[in-house]
Amino acid sequence: MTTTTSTTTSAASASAPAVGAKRDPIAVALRSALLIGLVVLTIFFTAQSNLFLTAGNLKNIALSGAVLMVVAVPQALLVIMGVVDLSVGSVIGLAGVVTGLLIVDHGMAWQLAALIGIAIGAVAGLVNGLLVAFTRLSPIIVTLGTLQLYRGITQFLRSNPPANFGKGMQLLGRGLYLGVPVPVWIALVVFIIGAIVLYGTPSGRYVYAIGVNKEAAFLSGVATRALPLIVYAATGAAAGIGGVLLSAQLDSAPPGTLGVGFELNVLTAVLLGGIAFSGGRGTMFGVLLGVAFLGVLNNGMTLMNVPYYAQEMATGAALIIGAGLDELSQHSQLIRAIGRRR
Amino acid sequence: MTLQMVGIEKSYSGFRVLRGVDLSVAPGEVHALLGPNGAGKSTLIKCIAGAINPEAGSIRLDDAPVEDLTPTRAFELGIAVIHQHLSLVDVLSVTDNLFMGHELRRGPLINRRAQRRVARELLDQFGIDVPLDAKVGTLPIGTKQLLEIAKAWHRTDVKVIVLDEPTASLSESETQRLFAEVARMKQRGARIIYTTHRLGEVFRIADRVTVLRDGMVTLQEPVASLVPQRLVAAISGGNEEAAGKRTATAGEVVLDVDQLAGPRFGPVSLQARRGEILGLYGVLGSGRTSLLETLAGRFRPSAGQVTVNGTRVAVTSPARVQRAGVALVPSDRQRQALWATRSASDNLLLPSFGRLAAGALRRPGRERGLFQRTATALDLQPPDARRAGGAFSGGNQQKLVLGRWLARIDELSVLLLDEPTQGVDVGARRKIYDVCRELTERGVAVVFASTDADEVAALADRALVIDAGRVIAELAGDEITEKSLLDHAHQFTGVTA
Repeated sequence: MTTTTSTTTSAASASAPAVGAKRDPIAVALRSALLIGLVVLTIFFTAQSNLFLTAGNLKNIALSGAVLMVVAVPQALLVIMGVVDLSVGSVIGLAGVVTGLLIVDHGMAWQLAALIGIAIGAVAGLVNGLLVAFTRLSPIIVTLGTLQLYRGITQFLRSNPPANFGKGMQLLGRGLYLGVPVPVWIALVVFIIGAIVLYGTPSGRYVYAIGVNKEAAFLSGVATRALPLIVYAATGAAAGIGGVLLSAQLDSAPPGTLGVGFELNVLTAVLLGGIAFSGGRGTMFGVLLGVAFLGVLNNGMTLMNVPYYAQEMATGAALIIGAGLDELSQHSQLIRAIGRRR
Repeated sequence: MTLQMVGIEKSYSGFRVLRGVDLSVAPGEVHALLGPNGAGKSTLIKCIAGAINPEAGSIRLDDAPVEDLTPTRAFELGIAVIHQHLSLVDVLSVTDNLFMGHELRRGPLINRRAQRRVARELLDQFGIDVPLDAKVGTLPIGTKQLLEIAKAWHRTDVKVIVLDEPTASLSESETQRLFAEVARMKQRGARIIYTTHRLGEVFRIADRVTVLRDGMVTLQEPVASLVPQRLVAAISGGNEEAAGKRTATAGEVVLDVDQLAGPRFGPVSLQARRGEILGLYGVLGSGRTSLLETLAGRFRPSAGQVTVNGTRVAVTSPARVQRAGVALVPSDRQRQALWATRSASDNLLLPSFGRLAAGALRRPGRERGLFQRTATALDLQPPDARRAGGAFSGGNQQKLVLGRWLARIDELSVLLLDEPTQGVDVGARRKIYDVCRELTERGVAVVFASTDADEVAALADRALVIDAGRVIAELAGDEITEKSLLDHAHQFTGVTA
């Protein structure tokens, strides 16, 4: 197709009101609540502890959020499409343990073992995707099932943790490149890939189209089965990367505990970041904010010696308040109408 | 002792939908309410049901004035409206449905024995032969409709019952049972208002008939003295004109459908030629939507062949059919076509993003250019690429959906449109007709389906009349008039005045 690029259109679209109510100050405030919260939290912790705003501690926060980010990016794409993968915690365990036992029990080079671990994660994700695409079962049921299934397989493969993976794995888990931990670089790459997919490729448009109106997407020729399938496989691969990184950090891969509960952390970050669980709405920047918020919150409270139970309470409250404010931002016109009536 | 509506008027945003409609229904009378789409039938029914209030005119029931009617108040007065979309819960039993929200109680618990007893009586009374515990979802649609009537019947002293297109999805035997029930309710003195697109039914059950056209009554008289031709003339407004005297320059066959069968239609054979507009006319439930959606890859055909540009096409998915150059503008915009929260750009360009991209990456410049050109061609208002699809008016939403395929005209051979102007204002309607015409000039075959004879007469170069999933007549050029379409659809062609 021969298209002449139009330059006159950008001016027209720039002056026009955006999708939704981006210009509505109430909506803007509500939508920025998480960002504001993150800034307030940072200021608060800086005031409370002089350890908080140090290069070493920021490195800690980034390292603790890296694996979360790796898995949250493809999970966000799934949730925008209106599906979900609850099995990522077990896929992390499976990939980590497989990688570990290949190195420890079979003397395999760590690079090859890690690639195999990631590939197994991708296969686990593909199985999720196939079950969702070709059965009429809800993604929640399917992946809740595989959550347990994959954990069982992991514990069948090895009962006690493989450990002492050697120097290569230690560098992967804790090494620095240009002063930044290697897992943080990996998380950055995954984030950039996610943003390019969502905004820079046609498939990103299809992700939203499926989430907002699947029937319309199907009738418009979108591959409404294949695309979720591919993203499920990508989520599995990402969880595989997460499993390798976590076991590299621990220098051990405990089959019963590696990645346990991780799916809930990932979902918390994604939903806190303003991605609607019902699908069709969310941004990659939101995912970044969600991950950063959780990292700062947990790190700051640990520095302040807040007991763990109180940290859990704070995280739970943040999720509910954050998601609630985001929901309100969708109805800002309603809020205004109510305000006017008074 | 009647339901009397006098001088009813109603406007929507300045457009007068009802212009002084009088209607009265006596006890024991079946009154058929007819008219083309947009004539004001639904609005009048909403006035009776209390869903909207008329701006002028009065409604009296049994000589008592009825003012500020609400749906609840209407129901208490004994006005029951049975819509096409039923209010039954499929997963619950017959008894549970009959008493939903009005359960018979014993203290805090449901009195199941009493409910079963009353339900049994009710079913016997209506001649509905189903077990009390049957799940409603397993019952045929005709039985569900009778249940809906029974449900209304036992809750209130029904004085007026409105049946809105009750036979659209019924088989002939179900229709007969419904009519038997209507006759029975009639004997009990109910006032029955009945809307239908099937004119033949008027002569089977109605006592009197009112025809609305453009918000005014064009015919109101007893059925006994009525001949079908007068009825058709009143509905079509005496309009015997074929719209454009077009010089048919139809080229070679682009779409060849041979003995195609699918859900609720078939076998159907038809051909569409390059540069022509083919209209499919059929009443609600005639199977025209299934036919178009099957051609578009929504359903898999159970038999038959589809050939596009001389190549046989495996009808397996919309994507597959689109690659062969066939695309659909579906009838239910909100459910099947629109991404309400996504931008106009996404709505208009979604099928084009892949083609516009360079390698894997989108090209924003190309996208803006194509959006701009398509929006201009369609006169999209406002021509704002970032505005959410749901924020546009109905007509402009339809332009976005139609524009999806206009943007891909280079690869388009056949455009299918189902009810292309439903819920669309007059200006947008004209634009959509113009675009269809332009498409044919650029070598596309346009196939559209409509329940509106007016629309088929205005737009089609050639028309097929569809009934019960089959093509029953073919008209071309000047033969396509509102009157001839109605005549053929209701098989009045052999009847003499």
